[in-house]
Amino acid sequence: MDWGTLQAVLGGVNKHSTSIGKIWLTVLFIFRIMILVVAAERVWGDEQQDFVCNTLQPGCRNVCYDHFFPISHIRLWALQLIFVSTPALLVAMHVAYTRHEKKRRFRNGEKIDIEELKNEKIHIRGPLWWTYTSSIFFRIIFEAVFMYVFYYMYDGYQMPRLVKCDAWPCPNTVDCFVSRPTEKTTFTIFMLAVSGICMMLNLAELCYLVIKICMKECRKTT
Amino acid sequence: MGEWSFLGDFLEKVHKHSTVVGKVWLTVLFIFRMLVLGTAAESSWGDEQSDFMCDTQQPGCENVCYDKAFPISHVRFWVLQIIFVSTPSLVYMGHAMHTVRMEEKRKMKEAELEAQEKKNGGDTYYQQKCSMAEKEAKLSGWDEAGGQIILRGSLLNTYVYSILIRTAMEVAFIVGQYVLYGIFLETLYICQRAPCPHPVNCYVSRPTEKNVFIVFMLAVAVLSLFLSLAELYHLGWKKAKERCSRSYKASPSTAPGRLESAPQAERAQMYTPPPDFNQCLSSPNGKFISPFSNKMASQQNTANFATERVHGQEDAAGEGPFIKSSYVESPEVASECAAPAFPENYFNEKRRFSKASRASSKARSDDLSV
Repeated sequence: MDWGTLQAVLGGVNKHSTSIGKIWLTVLFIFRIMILVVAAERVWGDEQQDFVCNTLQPGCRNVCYDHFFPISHIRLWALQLIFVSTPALLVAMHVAYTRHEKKRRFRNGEKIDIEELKNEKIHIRGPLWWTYTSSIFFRIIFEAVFMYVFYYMYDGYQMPRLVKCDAWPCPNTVDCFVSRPTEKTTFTIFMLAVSGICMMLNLAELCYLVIKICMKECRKTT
Repeated sequence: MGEWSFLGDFLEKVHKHSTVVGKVWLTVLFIFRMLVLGTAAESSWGDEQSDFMCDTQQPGCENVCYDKAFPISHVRFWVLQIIFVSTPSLVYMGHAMHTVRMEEKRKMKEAELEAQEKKNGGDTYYQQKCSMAEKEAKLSGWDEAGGQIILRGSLLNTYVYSILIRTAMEVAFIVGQYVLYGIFLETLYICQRAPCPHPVNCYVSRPTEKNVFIVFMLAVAVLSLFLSLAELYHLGWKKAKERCSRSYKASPSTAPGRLESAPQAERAQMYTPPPDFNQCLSSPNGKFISPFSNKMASQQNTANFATERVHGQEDAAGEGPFIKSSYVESPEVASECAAPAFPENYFNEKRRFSKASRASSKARSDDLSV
């Protein structure tokens, strides 16, 4: 999976984020995407090959693996990361639109310095504030949804060592053994913990933005 | 190595703003840990489970025995170790970037204020503001000419804490590795776990090659630990030496001459790390910050000083030392602002005030915030 493209896109958004947003992005790249690519993919690499069932019945192993792992952890995490990063693209689009508008006004004769326009740091206020805040809100929603999906699909966050399977064509209830369950549990809990941290960061950022705008309004009225 | 680029890019920035020992530590991290892990160790551990053979036909026995023998693979353990050991540097980098950002904001505000002042036509006042701006630039830790961050104040504290945490992480992971696996891997592992019917012999794949890498990574971890400790010692020793020389030189006479020679020596030292507090301020005593944290007071004092110059030498007892402290960096300030003239006994009295101001050194951290 090519995460470099995502890094390129999100790197641009980074410039217009709050400090907490920048920390979130760093945590995302180093503790989630990097761990996924460097470590987790290796751990889950042989998950089907080394899924062993106590039977000689052809096809039983395949069916049992498919029954217990409808979608692999790795793919679910990849989807989670993509969904969680996507709201930031909304912000990027809004910023691009704002710039485009300014350029248009410049072409229509208003005096705006074009160099300054390129490097201008766009402050989070007005409609951009709404876009930014809703992007954070959606991030939190996506994180929570995926955490629940993991819990629901795999009955908790621990990888079992032994699973009992009686799906057809297995002749009876067979014992199947998962490969590297301890290491997989370790990484599942690690990724869960980092998800939690990211969610906390997003909540903090949301609170910070809301409080900031409230204080601004208070100052205006007084 | 491409997979490590996410972390690598961040650490490149840290590399720019580290001390010499810090740079060596980062190089060791990049080359002896990341690169070796990514290229050599990964392929050595590639077949760790597929070639883990157990002397049994019982289905599932090999799986459970492998899981018992290696709760977490060495390679993944080292990946986590590298990430956790690098994290404190990222925190320091975050703080440094924050400082830079605050500095830029401060400069913008200064530029606005200067523009306003120029409009209002306050020339002398502008000069004084200019000198104060220079002082604040020095104190905030951002060197314009070199584009480097100078370690001082709360930034230095963050740096020291990051090294301490890094050291703790390093020790924790080395101890953790010892607790999990001991030092060497044995060829034979005897396993007794359901569904294995009895204790079975299991054979680890490539034990010698793995041992070579284990010893290598352990040695590099210990080397990194020593580098971190050396850096701590270097920072601590410099700080202690600084404090000693300050307390020694608080007593008379050489201050004016020292002020002249200090800037050159300090500038030469500016890009060699770690923080040489002498380079922060022209005086050996670095505690003049407290007046600056209150801009209004210093502005008032500069105005008073100007008035005093005009009206002759009236030494207002309360304000005298305060004014002198606010001007003490001026000789060192860059050329664009003309420094005001000093009375002869200025530096002597300043030194007396220096001793008193040491008590208010706590205000220093405020100076970095805008």
